[in-house]
Amino acid sequence: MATDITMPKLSDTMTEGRLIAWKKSVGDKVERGEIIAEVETDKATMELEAFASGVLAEQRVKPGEMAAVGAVIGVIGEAGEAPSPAVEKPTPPPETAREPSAEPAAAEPTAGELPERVMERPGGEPVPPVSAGPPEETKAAPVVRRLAREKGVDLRQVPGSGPEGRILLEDLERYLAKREEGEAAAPAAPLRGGEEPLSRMRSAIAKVTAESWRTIPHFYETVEIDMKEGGEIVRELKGSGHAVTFNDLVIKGSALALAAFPRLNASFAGDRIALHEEINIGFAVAMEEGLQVPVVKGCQGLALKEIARHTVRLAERARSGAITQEEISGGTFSVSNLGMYGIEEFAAVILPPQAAILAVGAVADRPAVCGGELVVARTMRVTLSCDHRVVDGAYGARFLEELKRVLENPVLMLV
Amino acid sequence: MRVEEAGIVDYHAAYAIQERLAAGVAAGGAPETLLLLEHPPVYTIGRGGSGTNILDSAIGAVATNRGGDVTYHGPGQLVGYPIIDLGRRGRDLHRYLRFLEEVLIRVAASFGVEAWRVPGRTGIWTEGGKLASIGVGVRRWVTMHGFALNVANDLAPFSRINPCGMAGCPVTSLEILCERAVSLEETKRLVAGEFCDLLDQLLIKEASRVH
Repeated sequence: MATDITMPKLSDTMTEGRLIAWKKSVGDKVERGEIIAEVETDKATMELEAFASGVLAEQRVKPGEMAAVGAVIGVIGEAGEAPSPAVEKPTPPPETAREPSAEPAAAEPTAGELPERVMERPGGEPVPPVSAGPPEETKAAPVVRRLAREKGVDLRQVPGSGPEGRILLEDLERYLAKREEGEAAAPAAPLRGGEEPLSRMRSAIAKVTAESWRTIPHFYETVEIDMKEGGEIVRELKGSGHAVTFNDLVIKGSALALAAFPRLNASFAGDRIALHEEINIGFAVAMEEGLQVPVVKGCQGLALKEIARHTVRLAERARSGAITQEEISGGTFSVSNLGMYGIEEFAAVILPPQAAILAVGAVADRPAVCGGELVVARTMRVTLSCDHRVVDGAYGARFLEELKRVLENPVLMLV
Repeated sequence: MRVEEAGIVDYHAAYAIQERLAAGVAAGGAPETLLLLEHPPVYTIGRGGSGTNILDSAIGAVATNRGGDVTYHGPGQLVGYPIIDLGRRGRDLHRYLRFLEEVLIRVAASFGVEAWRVPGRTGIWTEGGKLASIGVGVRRWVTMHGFALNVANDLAPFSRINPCGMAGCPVTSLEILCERAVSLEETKRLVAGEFCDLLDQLLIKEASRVH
């Protein structure tokens, strides 16, 4: 009778473990109590004992691979029984451990797989603002989507009457009919001529960006950053009750890089360059009527968790209109993140009197070459806009190199 | 529970002592032991790592069966190898790792040094960087290996490895954080005290061994 070898539960908080090594090869004789493999969780390894005697018939998980607690990682067959060929098959969904001596493995099927996907999806971050309609998935059949595309309709504007708000063909037709009649009053529907007075916010944005464009000679540099570890940190911190977003990592990383490259934490002042002692990082918050850039003050002395607390509070205040002039002034550097809209990369306009702004794109799986092999990497592209009166290309490049180093080794942001 | 101080002991010799003690505990009868010692300079590579994180050929490297990646040991660093029977203390490796961290955090605190955990990065961390590494191995639910607390050791050898597999991971010591000389003897006393105080509180002992 064959006996399954399952990934043991080495801790109440363990959901998956890594197989480090097999101590027996397929076909080897195994005695009950003998060490057959080593598994690891966190920084602890455990020598795995055989719970039955026989012959190692299968190794289903390769050294270095993760397996969920309770998943079958190998099989011990009866001595004399012909070992089934060691086929490389993927670990099936874990079965509950049946061995009496094994830990009662509370099988958590997809644990360890699911959170990663959910959490690292750029749109999944609890990112600031966005009242102008987050890129939420709408439910609709392909035929509805096609018609919507042809007619230039944003499906998010169409009320769905199907189950769970699914947009039916008739919903779209009704919407189109209304639009024909000029009744479609959806906020994002194309404006059809006429005038719109500038809101105070629009007017402020117009003034600042025009001044920036007129007076600051911009240049741009883009770098691609591996966010695999960053994603793990975000996930781990969330697991321990501290919500930190990719944007918070970028702010903290920028603060560290600015400390090393102070001329990007500066202002052009006619006959001199003013270097700022404080690192005050503004982050752009999109709002229905425009945007605001609340400032996290004194970033040089703030831990990642503190930055996260500030960004949540400031974004909330910006959204609710409660933000004060004091909270949006005094910035010495800014970050603008359009990752949640799926933007790959873009360049931002510097906010005077600052010397630079960092434009952050989406964290996504992208092809990369590693050791001559094509692999999938989880990356993010950031573009630095610099004031050429203050710094030159090489200085910006060295800043980005430092930022990349910090973000790719996020533990540097935790100490 | 007893504490055994062993001075400066070669890595392989210390491993042999651990194996002997662990076998005694697993067989029943032998007391749980906390071994406190120092090693001559050596790099050790845990099961999670490979030699590629060592950039220095002047100091020998040993592959060993603890968890974690590469680290450095040398005189002035306090190494603790607890041989503890988790078979009768809840059989929970994560809880055991958190217990070791708690001991070290309290020791640091008694020097006025604030230290903390970083989720997913076992060890203890301070504003100056990593203060202590942890890597554990378990055989029949009896622990081996343990922790390495930087007290007064030369930190330069860390700069020639990627500690814990992370490039540029900052490492610090009690002496640097306290800005004064710290004696290894004083640290040993504190570690032994906290360890014994916390062991039965955080890892409750059952009357008899499970399994």
